[in-house]
Amino acid sequence: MNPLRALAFAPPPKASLPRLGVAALASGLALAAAGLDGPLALASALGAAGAAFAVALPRADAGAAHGREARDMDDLLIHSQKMSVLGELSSGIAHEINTPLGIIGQETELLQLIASRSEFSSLDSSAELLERIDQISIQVERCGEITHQLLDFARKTKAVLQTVNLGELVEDMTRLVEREAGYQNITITRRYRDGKRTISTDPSLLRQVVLNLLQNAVQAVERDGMVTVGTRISGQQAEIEVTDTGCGIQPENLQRIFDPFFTTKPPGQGTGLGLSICMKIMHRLGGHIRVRSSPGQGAVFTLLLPVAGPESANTHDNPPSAYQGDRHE
Amino acid sequence: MSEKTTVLVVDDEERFASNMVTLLEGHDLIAKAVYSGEEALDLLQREDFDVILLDVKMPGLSGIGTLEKMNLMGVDSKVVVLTGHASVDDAVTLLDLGALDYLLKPSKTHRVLEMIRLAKEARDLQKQAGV
Repeated sequence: MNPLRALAFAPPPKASLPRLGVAALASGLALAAAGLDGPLALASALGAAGAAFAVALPRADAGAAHGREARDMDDLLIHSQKMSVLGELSSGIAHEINTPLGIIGQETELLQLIASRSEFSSLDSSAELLERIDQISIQVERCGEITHQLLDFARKTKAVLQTVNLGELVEDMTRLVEREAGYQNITITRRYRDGKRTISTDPSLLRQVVLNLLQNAVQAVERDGMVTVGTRISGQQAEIEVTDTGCGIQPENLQRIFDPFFTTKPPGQGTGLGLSICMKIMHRLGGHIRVRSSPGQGAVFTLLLPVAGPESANTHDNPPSAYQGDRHE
Repeated sequence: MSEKTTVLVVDDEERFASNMVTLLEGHDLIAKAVYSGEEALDLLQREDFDVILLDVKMPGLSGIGTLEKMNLMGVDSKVVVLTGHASVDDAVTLLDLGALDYLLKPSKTHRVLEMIRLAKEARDLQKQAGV
């Protein structure tokens, strides 16, 4: 798996998440409601925690005295608290599981080496033996993709604001991606304007989004393609723009790319969660994402952020239900 | 530059580190394992390695602490981070400290080997340039 991809929003195979905790986390549903009949103890552990937490919290819709708006706010609060607890829990679990998973992977590779030796390859059952060991290897990889995805959700959900140098933050992520892009001869061009200016934001959360967009852009362009990353500040709004020369986005897909689980990738190659998480993070930071694209003409993703931080943005204008990107074709 | 690549695996998970040594030796590399940052620093005073596979979260000296001390010692081995702990913040810190790249566990050996090959190339180029 591409390690940077994992650092951004690792795409586990869709089929590998049998209505698992991940799905519930992503779509913001209580885990208890997601159906925890999946085979993984991990899912059960998360589910149990989610259910317990849901019980512990007052239900927002219990009293008729609440207006619809108040209910929405309560739901949001409960949701964000749940996400926070589940995030911490899943982070701990995912971190701890990766190491034994790594060892199982190694043992499997060592078994493959032993099984391919001549004394074994002459056995009648050697083909079956190798096939079964291959399966262990495949399933280990699948588990790894799940834990990497859990780590993504584990990012703290509460924004901790700091004064951040816009250009430096974007450059840090560009450097991360550039290593990978360089292997495919993809050029990344910088166009930092106002790069030395600072903004008030949560750098960890914003890094996730920038990294994800850059990763998407690098994936979208063919070998020898070009990705451009730019920054600028106009008035009270900071902009980070990632442009690629890839195949672009079909108009009918443009409206759906921020929907959770929407993906155009083949099964097993993307969950369709990356951009939906990006959009959620951007809302938390008081900003949003704009996308422009035409088929065959590449795509431009623009992150729009309030310079003075989320508090300065009128969040009522951006209700979390409106997780669609602005379309500019 | 035809000599075998030497690799030091630094990981507190002993089975992981010793398995990695076996796998790397199976691919014609010379590998050694140590199980803490402190042990790594101690060995690096006496022995030179082309590439160091460094875990991040270890009791005692962390991967970041180990890399900082290696820099102070002037160790010029190429460092590839190999960890189960994905964190963009850690990755940025480690790359700033000079690590070449960042791999996440579980990671296939061919991926690790590819990274070691790139690291060795980078080190050879650096040596040729006399840096």
